[in-house]
Amino acid sequence: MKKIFNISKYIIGAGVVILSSCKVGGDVNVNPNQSPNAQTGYMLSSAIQFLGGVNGAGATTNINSFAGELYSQYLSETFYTNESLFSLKQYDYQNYYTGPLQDLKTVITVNTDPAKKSLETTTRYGSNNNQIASARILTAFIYLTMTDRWGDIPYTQALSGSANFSPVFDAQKDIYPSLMKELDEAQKQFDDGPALTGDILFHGNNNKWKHWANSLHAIMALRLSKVDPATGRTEFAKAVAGGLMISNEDNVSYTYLAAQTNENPYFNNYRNRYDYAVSSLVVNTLQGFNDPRLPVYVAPTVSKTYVGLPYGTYGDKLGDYSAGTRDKPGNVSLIGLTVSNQDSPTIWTSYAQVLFTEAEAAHLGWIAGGDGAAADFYNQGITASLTQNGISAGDAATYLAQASIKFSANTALEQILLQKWIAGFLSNGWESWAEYRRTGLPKLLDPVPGSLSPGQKIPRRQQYPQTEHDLNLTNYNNVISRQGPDALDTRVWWDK
Amino acid sequence: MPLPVNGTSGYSVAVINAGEIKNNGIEITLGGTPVKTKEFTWNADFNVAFNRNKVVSIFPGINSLQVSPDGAGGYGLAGGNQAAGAKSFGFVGSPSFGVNGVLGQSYGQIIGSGFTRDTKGNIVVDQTGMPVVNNSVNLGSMLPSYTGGFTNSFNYKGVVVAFSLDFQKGGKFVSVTEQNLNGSGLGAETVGNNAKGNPVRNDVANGGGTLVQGVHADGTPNTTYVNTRQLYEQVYSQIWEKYTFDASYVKLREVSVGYSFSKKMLGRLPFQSAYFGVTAQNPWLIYSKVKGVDPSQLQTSFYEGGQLPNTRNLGVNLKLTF
Repeated sequence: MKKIFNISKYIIGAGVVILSSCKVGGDVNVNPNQSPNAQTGYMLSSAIQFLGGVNGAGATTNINSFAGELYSQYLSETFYTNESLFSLKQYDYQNYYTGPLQDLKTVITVNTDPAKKSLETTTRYGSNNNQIASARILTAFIYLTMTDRWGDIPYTQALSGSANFSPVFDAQKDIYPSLMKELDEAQKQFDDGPALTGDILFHGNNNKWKHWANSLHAIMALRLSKVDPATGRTEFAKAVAGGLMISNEDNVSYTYLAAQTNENPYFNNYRNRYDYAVSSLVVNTLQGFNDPRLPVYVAPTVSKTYVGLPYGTYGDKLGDYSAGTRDKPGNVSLIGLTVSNQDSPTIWTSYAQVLFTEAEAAHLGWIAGGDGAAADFYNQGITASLTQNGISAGDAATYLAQASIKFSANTALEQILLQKWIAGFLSNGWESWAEYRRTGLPKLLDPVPGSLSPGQKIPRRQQYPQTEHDLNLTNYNNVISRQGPDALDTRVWWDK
Repeated sequence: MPLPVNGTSGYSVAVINAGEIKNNGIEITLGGTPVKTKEFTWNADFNVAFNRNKVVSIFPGINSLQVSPDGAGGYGLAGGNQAAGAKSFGFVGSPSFGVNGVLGQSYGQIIGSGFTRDTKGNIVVDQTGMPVVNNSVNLGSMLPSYTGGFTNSFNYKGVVVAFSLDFQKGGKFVSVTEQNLNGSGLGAETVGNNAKGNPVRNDVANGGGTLVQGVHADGTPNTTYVNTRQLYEQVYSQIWEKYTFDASYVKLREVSVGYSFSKKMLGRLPFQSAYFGVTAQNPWLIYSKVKGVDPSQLQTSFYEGGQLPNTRNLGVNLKLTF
């Protein structure tokens, strides 16, 4: 017995030696050059940067993406006319999930997890509450953009990793209230603790985040004007009580940099492709009102005039137009340099846009003051947009004094939405398109002759990515039976 | 092995253990010297290879998986032209095609956009007369039924004539060249007259245009002519099925003719031996089912992304031994 005992002791001893030698050599599964903890501030920056577009790429996930600007008929295509004629139908949203949404979820998880929330790698980017609140607002903004584009989307079961590779689609009528609740709770969550760092949108200014959250809340509430005005009205009041944007300083301005890695996608496109010219609808509308924004939005042609390219021009007729280049302009106008320079910012949500939203709410009687208040908001909205574009106070006053601009209660909606559309040039195109679907205003070319959408109409939504059909078929079939065919002419819930 | 998963989970791939694939193959090689006399020799080599494979299992719940038939590949080239490592091809925003291992089938199934067809196989068109795109159609297998080669050399009194043939039966590939040519109106099929006897490029209102042979969803035949330019530029350009071809071919890969000078002929020249020959590479694509693209020299094993035509080389060979 004694002998056996001895042997087993040696075996144990050998085992200990092996284990300890493992420790000396380090675990091969741990990369010594990477932080074991999530750097939450980098994730916030990355999520914001994603929506602006990296390397000047014109991704379809950009807030100012080409497709959104085309659907809103701000721009026309100069050569490849597929997108403006709606022959591209499926748009991919997966990168929203695998990119910013997953990052923002991690920010929230890390700042909530008792084991991680107090780590230096977490707290150096701002107080837990401030990080969580900003991540929630940005997440809501992304989901809002997505549900407006596709309708029903994976939401409650999304971002579950290997726990669920087949998330169900949530109905838009459930997503909207949920996002408005998120925005309201998040804007109350900011505290006076350390300000956000890594916040390339507002540079740690909590008030601007709050104003944005409430303004998005108001925009979402107004989107219910047709489908559920009662809820819209209640939610609008909540948003106003929270505090909307109060000046152009509050504009959600995404700053591009004077470097190729983070340049404006329109500058990038004008490096050599020149795929887009300004639409004749924009040029003619601005000229009709003697609008001082014309030389800001639009570049002169070779003959020093401003000429738009009619939206949807295709085939042989396109041969009559030449957009030229910045150095050698053609006979139709390119986008103005001020709004498409390498470091020209893009505005995701503007003070002007919020004022026009309030104007419509006043006109509808959702907020006090009736058409008198609507007129004030309308005038302020125009002034805010003019100021944002560098127009002097004198020129703004001249513009507002024109009979064609003066607010009239009889044409309130037409005027408000036309000015909102003008103010939104080259900004959040998805938003302008959504507002067109809600109101049918301003009057765009619809149907678009020669286009390839059902009935040649402007799309009412975009089609799901192929991956849903290939990897999530049961839920895909369920959403089609609930929402309608996966087609461009199926209307989303709020679009009545 | 990276398994693509639905991105709405927050992740685009999951790392799993590999699935199972079963391969059965035969390769036959015959070689020898059929004729050998004092003055004439004929050497010949012939080989042919057959391979059948079947995807047995991938991962529970997963029926197909995109594969890279040309190996993993370290990097992708800009402009959508990836060679090694290519799994799929498509232009931004348009339907794409890719190679998939499909459970119960061979691993090289090309799946991409095709025509929507009714139960009888007719192409379905919409109310405007344009074909309806179906984004997920099995366009066939890239794997050939068999491949092989045939090499010969003849030697008669110092004159050497050699040639090699190779061939492939079956296997599909997608031609981006054809898509580009037709999409931009350079392809031959985008001109000509329609059934009414009018040029297809004329306005539909003036009797021009193209009639897509197909039916409406309710089964009635299509009678609506469409603008030819729009059909090719914007609709057919999204339907990869139209540009999927059979890669069968027979090719004369190389021919050479030469002469070895005998010692006697060299006389007082300071050489031990001398040989002079002419070689032609890629002289003749004898048989191919597709016009305009050489299926024997594709950029990848399942598509060519608008590649340049292959070159034909002519060489002169002079060998002198001192």
